[in-house]
Amino acid sequence: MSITMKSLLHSNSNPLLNSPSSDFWSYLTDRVGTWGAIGPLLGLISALAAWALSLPGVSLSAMTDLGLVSVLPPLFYVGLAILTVSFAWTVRTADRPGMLGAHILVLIIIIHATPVLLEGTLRYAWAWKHVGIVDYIQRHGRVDPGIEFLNAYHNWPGFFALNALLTEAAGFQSALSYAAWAPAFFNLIDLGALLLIYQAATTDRRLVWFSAWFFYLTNWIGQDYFAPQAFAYFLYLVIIGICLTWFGDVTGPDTATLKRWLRFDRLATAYRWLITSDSSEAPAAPATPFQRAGLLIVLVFLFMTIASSHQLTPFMVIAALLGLVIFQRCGARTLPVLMGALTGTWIVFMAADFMRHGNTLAMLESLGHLFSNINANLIDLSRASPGQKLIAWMSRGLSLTVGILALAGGLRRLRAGYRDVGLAWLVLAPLPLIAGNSYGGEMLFRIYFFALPFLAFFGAALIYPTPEAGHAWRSTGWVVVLSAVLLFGFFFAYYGKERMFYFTPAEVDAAEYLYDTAPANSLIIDASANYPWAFTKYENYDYNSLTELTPAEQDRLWANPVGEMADMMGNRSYAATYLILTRSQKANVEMLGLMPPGALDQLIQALRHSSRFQEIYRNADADIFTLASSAGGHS
Amino acid sequence: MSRSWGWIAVLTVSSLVVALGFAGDLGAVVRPLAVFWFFLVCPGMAFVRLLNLTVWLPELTLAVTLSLALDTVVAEVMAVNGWWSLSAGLLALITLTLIGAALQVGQIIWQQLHVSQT
Repeated sequence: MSITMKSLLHSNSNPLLNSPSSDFWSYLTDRVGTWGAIGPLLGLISALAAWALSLPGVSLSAMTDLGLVSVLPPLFYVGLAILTVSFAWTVRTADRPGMLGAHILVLIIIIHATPVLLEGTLRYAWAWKHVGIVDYIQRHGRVDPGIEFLNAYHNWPGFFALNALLTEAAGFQSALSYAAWAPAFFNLIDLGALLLIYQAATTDRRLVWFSAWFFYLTNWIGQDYFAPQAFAYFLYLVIIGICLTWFGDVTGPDTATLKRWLRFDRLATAYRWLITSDSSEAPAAPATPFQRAGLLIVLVFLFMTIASSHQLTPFMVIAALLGLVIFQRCGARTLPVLMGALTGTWIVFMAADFMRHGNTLAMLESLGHLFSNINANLIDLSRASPGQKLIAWMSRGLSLTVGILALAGGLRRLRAGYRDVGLAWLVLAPLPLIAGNSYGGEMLFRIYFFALPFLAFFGAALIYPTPEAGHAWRSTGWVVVLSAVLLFGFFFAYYGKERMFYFTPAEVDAAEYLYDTAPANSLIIDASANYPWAFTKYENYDYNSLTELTPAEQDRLWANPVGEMADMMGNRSYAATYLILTRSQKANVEMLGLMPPGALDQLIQALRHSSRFQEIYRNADADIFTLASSAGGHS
Repeated sequence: MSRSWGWIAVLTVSSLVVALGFAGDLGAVVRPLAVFWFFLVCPGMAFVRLLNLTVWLPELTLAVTLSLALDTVVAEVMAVNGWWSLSAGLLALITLTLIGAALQVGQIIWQQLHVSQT
């Protein structure tokens, strides 16, 4: 639909010949408008086509320590570039929400369907463990809160019970039938909740959609897999969205009352400034008393689901809502108290077994240990491979960039007269939790994850700070540049550990063989718990990892692998003992520097040549050994 | 058929399909699709529609959220108490969905009566 000279000269409606200059411009605008309608659609189709055509040639076996980035072909990035330009074009006017939604949908598909389609197996060792809990409920018809191993999951079983019911109702044998699609699914449903939040924060549709786009370009943490966290996070976003959308219309106390409460004039003035809504903030959606009562019931119900499904998220919700109530951004003032009571009730009565397992003491001990909790969250870069060092720095760099962009965007909004106190609080609310617990070395990631929707809003506001700003084409260019920078960091950070997160079909075959063969009360030893493990009959076995050995024990193992392994596996209290070593375990210990280079290959060679061991299973990516005296498998 | 009656019909038919899928054989493709649709949308939509939110995206988001929450609570009650039963779980969710659909019918009738009286 381009304007050619021929069409201009021969058409009866030629604006150059028949119309005044103003008509010419309206003609041009119409033509650009037509492009505006068709261009994004073509962009979407082209991006999808380039992405789909790029996948068949990918060879995962060639993957290096840089992860998927090292094997994705240029056409893959061409597809993303087209999508980014098309999005930037469409978001300029943001008058086609369906088209913008389709762009984000395609972005989610490209990012999160790519690993599933390329790999065909469930990523992340933890996800396999979660499938194991679902399997436990399917086989036993109940949870066992007093169980020794993985007992936290039995004390917060909501997500697992849901999936056990879903798996059986759908006629599947195992949650493995669909669990690999969890990241795509969770990111998709998160979009509805994010839009609810952003639409409550601003009336500028460009800022709404660009914030959502920004979120997906920076959500590199990988907390969206088949796990209670991803499930509870969605509920968390919806709770925040409901509170801001329908309970955000709050009338704060007057100045006299404030002075009476706070005693100091300056404090009262500052608080007054904080609680006063901006004229630019989107007004709360009108709601009848019936609607508000219904929504309140929904809120409490959603929180009950969170409290029974995940340990950490209830505290994040309470912290978030407490600030929203204090800063008069949520009119449901009793909610934080009610939620605190519900959380306490669950911990005391339903998770009592977990607390009795020594976890109460461990949690109390980590309280206040800010620096050790932070250090527990960061990998030891001195031992990591060069590729992993780069990935770690890229991840940290991306997080820092997001923080800086958000700060700059927030300041730009503030200069333009917007306070955004509610969203600013939601950025800060998760931070104090780092002083409370290291959360198994994941708290920093979780804090970033919970703050991200609001960091994304402020980051996007750097380009669209006000409804009046950012209409020039230069801003569209900045959207493209910023997206490209974030995408560059994202692909290293999110896909950078794929060499160890990916499990080949051969590894899955080996793990299935092991769980089919091993009798109950067996000991399963691995190099590191980074392989498909514990996904079925998990409670029948004990598990040990060579990475859990002390440095002195590891030194002895490498000096005398046959003797040390025979001692480890000779424990007669077990029905049988197995050593499983896989490609992904090797990748894990090599990438993170957990063992000397080549140590596992040397161990395999030593055991193969020893008469004390028998290799009962072997394929291209896995080996399973047992002591020769107890061997009964095949090779 | 108005928008309100449309959802009531969808919820009722979805409940029937899931019940039939459990009792009979819907096939290896249709059954998972029907079950995923039902679990993700129906129990929540049955109650969220009562709120008359008017805008479709928030309504759908709330419906999905509430559906997942209702599914979870039903499954969790069974798992924690050792009452695990697929048929009981499905029956509970179908009953909840149909109760919500019936309340929507009641709400429509009440609104029509209210309008005709005024």
